[in-house]
Amino acid sequence: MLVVIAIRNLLASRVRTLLVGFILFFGAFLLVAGNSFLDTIDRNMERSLVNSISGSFQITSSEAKDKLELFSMDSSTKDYGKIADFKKVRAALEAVPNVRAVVPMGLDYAVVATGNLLDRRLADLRNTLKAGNTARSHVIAAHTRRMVETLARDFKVGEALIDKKRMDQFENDKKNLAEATTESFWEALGTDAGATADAGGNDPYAALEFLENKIARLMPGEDLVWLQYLGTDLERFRENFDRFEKVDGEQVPAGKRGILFNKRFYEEQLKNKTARRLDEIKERLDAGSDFDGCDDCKEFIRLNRGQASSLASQLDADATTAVVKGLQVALNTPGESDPETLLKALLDMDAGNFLERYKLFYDVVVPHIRLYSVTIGDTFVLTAFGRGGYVRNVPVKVYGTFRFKGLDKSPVAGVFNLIDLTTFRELYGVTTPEKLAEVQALKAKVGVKDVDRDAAEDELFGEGAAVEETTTSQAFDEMAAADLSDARRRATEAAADRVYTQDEIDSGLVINAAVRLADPDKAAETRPALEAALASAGLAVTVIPWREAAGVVGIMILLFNVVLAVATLIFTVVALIIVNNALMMSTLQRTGEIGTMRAIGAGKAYVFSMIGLEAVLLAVVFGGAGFGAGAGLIAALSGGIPAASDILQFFAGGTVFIPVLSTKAIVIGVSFIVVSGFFSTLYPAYVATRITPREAMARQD
Amino acid sequence: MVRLALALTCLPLVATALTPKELSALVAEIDDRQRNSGDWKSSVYIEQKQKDKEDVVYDSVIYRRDATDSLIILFVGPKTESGKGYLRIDKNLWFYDPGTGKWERRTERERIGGTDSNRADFDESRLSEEYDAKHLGDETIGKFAVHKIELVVKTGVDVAYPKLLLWVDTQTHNILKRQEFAASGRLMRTSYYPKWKRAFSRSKGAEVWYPEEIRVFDELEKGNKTTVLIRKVDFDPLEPNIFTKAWLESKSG
Repeated sequence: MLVVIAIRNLLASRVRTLLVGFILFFGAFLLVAGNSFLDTIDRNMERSLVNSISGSFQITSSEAKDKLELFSMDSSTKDYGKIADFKKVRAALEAVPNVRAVVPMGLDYAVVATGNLLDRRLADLRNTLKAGNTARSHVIAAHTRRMVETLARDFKVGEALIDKKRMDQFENDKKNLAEATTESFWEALGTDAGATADAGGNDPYAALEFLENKIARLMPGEDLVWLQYLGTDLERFRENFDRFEKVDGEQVPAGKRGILFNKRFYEEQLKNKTARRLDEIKERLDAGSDFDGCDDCKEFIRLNRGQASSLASQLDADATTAVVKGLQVALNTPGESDPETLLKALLDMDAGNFLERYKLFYDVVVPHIRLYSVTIGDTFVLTAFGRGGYVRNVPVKVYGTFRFKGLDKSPVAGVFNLIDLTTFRELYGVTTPEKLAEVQALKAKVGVKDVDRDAAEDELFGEGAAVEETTTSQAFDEMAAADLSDARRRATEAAADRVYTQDEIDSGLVINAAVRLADPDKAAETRPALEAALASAGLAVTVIPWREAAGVVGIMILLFNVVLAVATLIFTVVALIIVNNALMMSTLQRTGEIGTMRAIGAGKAYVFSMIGLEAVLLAVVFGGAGFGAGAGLIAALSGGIPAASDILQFFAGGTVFIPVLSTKAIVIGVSFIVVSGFFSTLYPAYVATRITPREAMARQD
Repeated sequence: MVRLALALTCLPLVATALTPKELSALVAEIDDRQRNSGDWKSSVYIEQKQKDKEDVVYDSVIYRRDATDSLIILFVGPKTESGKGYLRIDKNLWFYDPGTGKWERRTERERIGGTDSNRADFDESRLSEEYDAKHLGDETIGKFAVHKIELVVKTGVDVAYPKLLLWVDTQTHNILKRQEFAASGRLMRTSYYPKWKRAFSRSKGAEVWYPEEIRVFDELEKGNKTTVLIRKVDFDPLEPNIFTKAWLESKSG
């Protein structure tokens, strides 16, 4: 009977019912669909981080002055402390149930100085001369000559733009270029490699140094690239982070030293800029951009048009022939034999010819140029300021590139390059006891008095100070006490293809480590066991949940959750107020009806139940429909939504975002329906029970 | 009485004011006194103290040929740093590490061995050639009366710092204090030169001045400071082909 009356009442005032119903519908829909979306994002980000770098927990030394941040906006040097002997920590943690592996790590920055093209070519020439490789040095010398001739021609073009005050230097450089383009100059580099000077007095090394010191610095394009690296046990990293995937080249062989570039970093930072710009245009077109409406694309083409000369100078004699032949046919210009003119024509791209020219560039030009400033297979030098204060220069071989699966474009994925732990330790610059003793001995021998900055002038120039004394020049043997054997040892070690044992890799310093769990869902239960194991082994190491260790990314995830919670709360309160208000108004409008019902014997409980049931029916029907619609939307999108932009890929944890109806969303959706139904009923129903027949009749009057 | 005391206090400042000609002659004299017409070899100790880090020290040898503007800084200790070196030829500053066997171009701002010192601290003085001078007034540092001089880099010259302030002893004409500023006007380093030495050079036929001690205070990383000590000098001619990559490679390879 009550249900019939409640339904009748609801139908009697359809507008009110629909208004309140819409709010309940929309609230339930939003909470179910929105929470499912946000939960999916949160879970994706967690998976992205836990399975690519952080593990469920990170550990650092308890003496760390800064809190570990795997991702940080701040590139200043941080003090995350150091774990002196990783082996002990690994043994203690891997004995804990649910721990699958402990992966050693160390984060830092280094600089890569690539030099300009001529610098690199001259370094090749120097090496081939030293190696006595006559045939190869002739090829490189011929190519170098081409580069110098191009440089000399471009240099003359710039004469009109030179500031008069710089004219002396300009004239001097021009004179040097003129000398470096004479036949006789190149005869010196044409002598037998390895010789210091031939019978005619030609000295290849003197000519080489002339080019290195007077010519190469005139060529623009020197790059200094900052590189963030993660030193780790590469084998264990690969085994335990399933998002890791090799892209180009090969894995660093087990126990060997080497670097794997992050594919994203490799493309963006180390690739030939002309090729990179073309890639960027292609990526935009592939993503659906219109060439004519893309201002960046036009700017990239404009910049590329100026690169013909630079590209041409990279081509040696054989490459020039191949490129000219290829472009003559493709561009249908059989009479044109100047490589620079042909390249300029190739790079003059527009909406109509871009895709064809892009393919042509990669087919005809790219095989003959240095596409990356550091190529797979190269050994290059990483320079870092070691923690011991000394600058560290460590040669490292490039084995390949990698990516984190499904995260190619995510900002998270592009951050780290992976290097072996031995190279990391050398860059970190641990001061050995022997070195410390040597430094102390040197300091004691010289005995420099420390001077405080603020008191320096009084201490150095106060009473008794004499600033000038007479002395004598005296011959001394600077090498008498010098021991250069360590330089030779380092050179030998760098050249050696040494394989390090697992014990050597484990025994030594790391900064942090990732703890991978067999069941990541049991992370909360495992944490106390990890802490207990470390404490009982006497290790001063702190366990940090991945979310805290993630730094700026962790903060972003936390913010998401806070925003979600606040939004849910606000929406629920607003919905309650509106529904409550609507029911209240409806109750007051029905004062006469309720009074009559009371007059014919309906008790307070009956009236309360009737009003309450109306609200419950509204909540169940419309809230339920909203719940269903929300769940239906999630189900409809289970095929996935393409994540086009970088940031969307991060949220999606891949290239496709697949929302999942989460338990949390179901609980919140149902709770909303129950809570809004219950609380929005209470007051109107209470007011209704207070209406007496007499009061109702008095109002009707 | 008070006026008399004030007048006496100000007297040295008024008496030592420099005319533009005197200023130009003074800066040229600073350069000329440090220039050796022939070669230069010195044993140099560098000690860097850094906030929250261990001290960094180098035992090094400096080779200089002022006639060709060439310079080598070769580290000979500690052992792990030995053989690394810098070579300046023309406008190039090269760094060589025998551990890598590679040469790298470095800029004028290069922190030598990661310390607060830079190439100019070890090289011939070229103030008149590189900067325009302006006399800002006279002051005292400790017990010494000094000329305060501003130097601004000339157009087209590549130097580590485009603006310098020098405090030059009015009596001995030695630099006692030097401040270096970035293009933004930010103070980067303050250096003190508490001890100057002069020694007779046969090649020059006159005395050569050099700072026996340089105290460099990093104004960017407060708390970092570097001391450079020139312990021995030798003005005898060096090998003719010393300022080449090949020579440095042969020494440290």
